[in-house]
Amino acid sequence: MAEGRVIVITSGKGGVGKTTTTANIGAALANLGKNVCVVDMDIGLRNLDILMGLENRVVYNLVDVIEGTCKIKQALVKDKKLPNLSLLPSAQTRDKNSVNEEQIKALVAELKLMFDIVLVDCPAGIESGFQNSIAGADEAIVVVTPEMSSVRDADRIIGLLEARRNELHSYKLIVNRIKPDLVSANQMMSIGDICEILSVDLLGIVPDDEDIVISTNKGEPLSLTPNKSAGQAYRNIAMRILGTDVPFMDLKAKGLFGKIKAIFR
Amino acid sequence: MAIKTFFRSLFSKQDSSAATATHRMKLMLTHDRQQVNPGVMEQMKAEILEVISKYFDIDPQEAEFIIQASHQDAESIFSSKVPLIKGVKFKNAKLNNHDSNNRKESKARDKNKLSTTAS
Repeated sequence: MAEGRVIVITSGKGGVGKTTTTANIGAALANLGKNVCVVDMDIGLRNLDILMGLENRVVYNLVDVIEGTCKIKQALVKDKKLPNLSLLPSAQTRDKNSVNEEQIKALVAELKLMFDIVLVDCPAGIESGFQNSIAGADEAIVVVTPEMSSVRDADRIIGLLEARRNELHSYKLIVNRIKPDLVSANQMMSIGDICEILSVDLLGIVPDDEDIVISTNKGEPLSLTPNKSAGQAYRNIAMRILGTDVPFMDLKAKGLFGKIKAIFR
Repeated sequence: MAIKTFFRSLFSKQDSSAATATHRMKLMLTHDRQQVNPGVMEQMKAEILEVISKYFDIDPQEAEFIIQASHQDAESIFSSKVPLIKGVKFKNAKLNNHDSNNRKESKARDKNKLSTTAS
């Protein structure tokens, strides 16, 4: 079997939707038939298991694997619906200094042999947790929201990714939580503005969607539910990752006011 | 909320916080990428303008300083555009008064001579 791709999902700033993005893209890729592993690299603050509804099935974790307490296969948690989707949970009671870059590289190299795609959910910040997460990654996805603080942190991250261009051969942007109404009213930075400012290629745009809250409550990634705009956005991103050219969603402001606004724009 | 922002944008064209954010963002990232404090930058601009104003009549308000900085290429450029008020004439008279440093003064005098001979 050919080696899989390792894609790290990062952002710099916390709370912009890295974990949600990881869970949704992971599920969408698995739904497209790929053998996928999502890795929670936020050691000490485990969350990816909740978003996937797998929190009750976690026995071993990433630190256990690294310390040799268990084998990788014992720590992997299979998804309830998709047998070709696995989660490698993070440790909740340890901290980021429990592992180092070399150990993560070795772990990721092993996962690459088992899966088509390994998605690494990176913790916020630019310290050791981030450095560990990008160790061994082939590609990166930078998640940004249309807020100045998020864009600034993303730029810092891009600078750090650029410095590792030898190992990490591509990085692309996902603009998350776009509010079409605000963009139409010129009160939110547009996708074009953000891409220009960061001078980076766009992988996807995800609208702000209340259904994300509901899907998190249920522990079912929205990308598996049909007819949801954010879900569709994640499915499109998954297809683009696999090389299909999917047009970007047309995020026009909804409703009557949206239409009037479009006229006056 | 949406209605409010809509009418605000309809009645006053200037009030686009998106444009403000984009402008602030570009400036901020330029400083971040060059690892320079905006305060230091302002100081440098003031010093540059001070030096130029010794030799030319300028309008400091109209001066533009642009830094192009990027992660991708090493080609970062600092450029400045300082409009001159009275064409390109040297300010001969001011030169002698401004310099306190002797070496600078002698250099300035040389330049002064040069410009006189040229004109």
